Amino acid sequence: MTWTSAMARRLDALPYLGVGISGEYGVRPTIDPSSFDEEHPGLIHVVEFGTDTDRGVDASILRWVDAGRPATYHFLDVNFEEIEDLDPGWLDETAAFARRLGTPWLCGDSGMWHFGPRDRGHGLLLPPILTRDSAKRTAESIAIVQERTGLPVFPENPPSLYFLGDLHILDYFAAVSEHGGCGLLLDTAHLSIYQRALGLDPLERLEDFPLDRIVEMHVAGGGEAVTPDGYRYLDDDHRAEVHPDTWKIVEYVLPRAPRLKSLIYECEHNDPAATVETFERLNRMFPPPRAKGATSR
Amino acid sequence: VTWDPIAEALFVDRAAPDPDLPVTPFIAMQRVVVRMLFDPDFVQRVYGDAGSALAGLDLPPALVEQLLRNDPRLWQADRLRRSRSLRILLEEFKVSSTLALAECRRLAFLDAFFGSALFHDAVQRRRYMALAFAAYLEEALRRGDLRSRHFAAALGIETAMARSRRLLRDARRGHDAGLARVAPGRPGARWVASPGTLAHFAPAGTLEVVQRIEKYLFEVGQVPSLALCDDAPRPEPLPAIDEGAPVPFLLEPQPGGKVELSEVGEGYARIIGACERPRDAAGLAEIAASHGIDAEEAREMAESLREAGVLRRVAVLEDGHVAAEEEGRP
Repeated sequence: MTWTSAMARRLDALPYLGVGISGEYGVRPTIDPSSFDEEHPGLIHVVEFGTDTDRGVDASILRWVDAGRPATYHFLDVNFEEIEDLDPGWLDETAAFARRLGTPWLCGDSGMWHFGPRDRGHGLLLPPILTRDSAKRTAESIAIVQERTGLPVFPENPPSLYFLGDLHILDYFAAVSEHGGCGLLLDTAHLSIYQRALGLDPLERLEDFPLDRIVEMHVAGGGEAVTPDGYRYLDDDHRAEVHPDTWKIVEYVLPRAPRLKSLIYECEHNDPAATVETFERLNRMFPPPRAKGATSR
Repeated sequence: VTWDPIAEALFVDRAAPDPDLPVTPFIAMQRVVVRMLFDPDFVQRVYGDAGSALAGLDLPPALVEQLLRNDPRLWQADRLRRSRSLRILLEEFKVSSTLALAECRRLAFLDAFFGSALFHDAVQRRRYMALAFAAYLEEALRRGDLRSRHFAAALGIETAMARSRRLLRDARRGHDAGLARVAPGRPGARWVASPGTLAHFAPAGTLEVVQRIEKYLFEVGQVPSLALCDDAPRPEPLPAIDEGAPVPFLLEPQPGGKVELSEVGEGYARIIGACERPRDAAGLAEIAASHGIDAEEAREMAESLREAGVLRRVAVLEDGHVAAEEEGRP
C-alpha cells in the first residue's frame, strides 16, 4: 500500500481530539487524568495511554474512557523492522485493548521496543536504522497492522543518543508514510534531540516533510544531562519544562499541519501544577474540539 | 492482501521459527547495538577491532563506520540497564540465583552473564534472555565453578518452569512448538503435550529447598541494607535433597506466567516427556517399554492424559505438517 488520496480522506475523517495528556500503565508517580480534569477543567480533552499487551489497561484510563472521554492507544511493544514481531497473538490483543479504549488510531515510536522475542526484561527503545530498506520494511509492517486491526497506525520518530543510517530521520518517516500509506506522529521533543545530536537546526528538513500527513503531535520536556564519565546529552526525561528547540518546532509545524487531530503533552510524571501553564499555552495554539468543530480544524 | 508474499508466508508458516536464518543488515545491526548497550567490554572490542568483533554478521561497512563515529561513552549512559535486567532474571530464577550467590558470594558472577557468549548469542539470534541465563548457570555447574547440589536441583526446576511458560507464550503468539513440522512420509494421528506442559524429575527435597529459600528471601528483604553486614543471615542449613529418589512433577503453565506444579506418577511423567514432540502409538510404545510400561498401558495413559488436557491429539500429514485436531485436517 502506498500513500493515496483515499488515505488522505481517511485521515480527514478522523475525530479532532485537541490537547491531551500522556499516561502509561503502572508508572508512578503519574497524573491521574480524571482528577487533573476536575481540578483544571478545559485543559485536557484526550488521554494517550501507553502500554503493552503484557500489561494492558489500568484503572485510571478505564475511569477516563468509561466516563465517555476520548483516548488513544500508544503501543510500547512492537518492532516494525522485524516483520516476525507482528504475530497473530499480538495483533489480536492489541486490537482488543484498542477497542476497549475506543481509540480512533494506534500510534507509537517506530523502532526496536524489545530485543529477542517479546518477554519481560527484553524491553528498550532503539531508533530504526535510517535506511530505505528499513523504511520499506517498517512500512510493510504498518500496512499489516492497519489491515489486521482495521485502525490507522501512526509511526512516531523515537528519541535516541545515536542514529545510524544514511537518511535524515524526517526523510525516513516520509518514506515510511509514502510506502505504508499511513499518517504520521511527529514527536517534537524527539526531533529536537535528533537535530541537536547531529548539530542541525531544529527545523532542518521540515520544509520537505509531508506535514499534511501529521495526525498527532507530541510535546515534552527535556534537558541537559551528563553521565559520570562526562558524556553530555539532551535527555528525553519528560520534565515539565519544554526545551526552546522543541517550542520552535511546535510553532513551525502547527500552522502547517492541516490534518493534525491531537496534540499530546507528555508530562504525566510531574507535579500537576507545574504543567498547567504549558497546557494553557498549547490550548491557545490548538483550540479544544468544541471550539473548533467535531471533526476538522 | 496488502503485503508481499514473504510477509504472508511468515504469517502462514509460523510453527518453527529458525533463529539461524540470515537477517537483513539493519536487523543484524540493531542486535549489535543491543549487545553494546549491555556490555562495555564488547564496546571496547568493537571500537578496538570492529572487523574481528563483528565477524560473520555481514554488516555494511558504511554502517559500521558510522557506528564507530559515535562517542563510546554513550553506550553506557544508562548505568542501571544491567541491574534492571538482572533484577528481572533474579525474580524468575530466585532460588537458583540465591544459591549461586550463597556459594560464590560474588554478584559479579551473575552480572557477568551480560558479557557472556550465551547472552550475546541470544540477542543476535533473537532468543529468550531468561533461557540463556539458565544455560549460563548450567554451564557454571558443568565447569565446576558452582558445585552445590541444592543449586543444581533448584536450577533444574526453575529452568523447566521458565521453558514451560515460554512454550505457552510462544504458542499463544502463533509459534506452537508441538506443531512444528516432523519428518515427511509418516502420516497419521499423534499425541503431543499441550503447549508448555512438561514433566520434570527433581531430587527429593527440592520443593523444601525452594520453600526455605523463599522464606529466607522474604526475611532478608525486610532489611535490604543488611547485605552490608558481616553478620547478615545465611540461607543454610538447607533441607536435605536426594538425587537418588527423583520426584516426577507435572508443569502446567497459565496465561499470566504462573506455572502450576503438581506431583505425578512416574509412568505418567515418562509418557508426557515422550510427547514433547508428536508421538504415535508405536513410537510411544518403544519409549514406554524402556521404562517398563507395556504398549497397551502406555496408550491408555496417553488417552487418560489427553482427557485431562495434558496431551492433545494432532494429525501429521504426508508432508510432515502437523495440524491440531480442531483445524479439521485429516
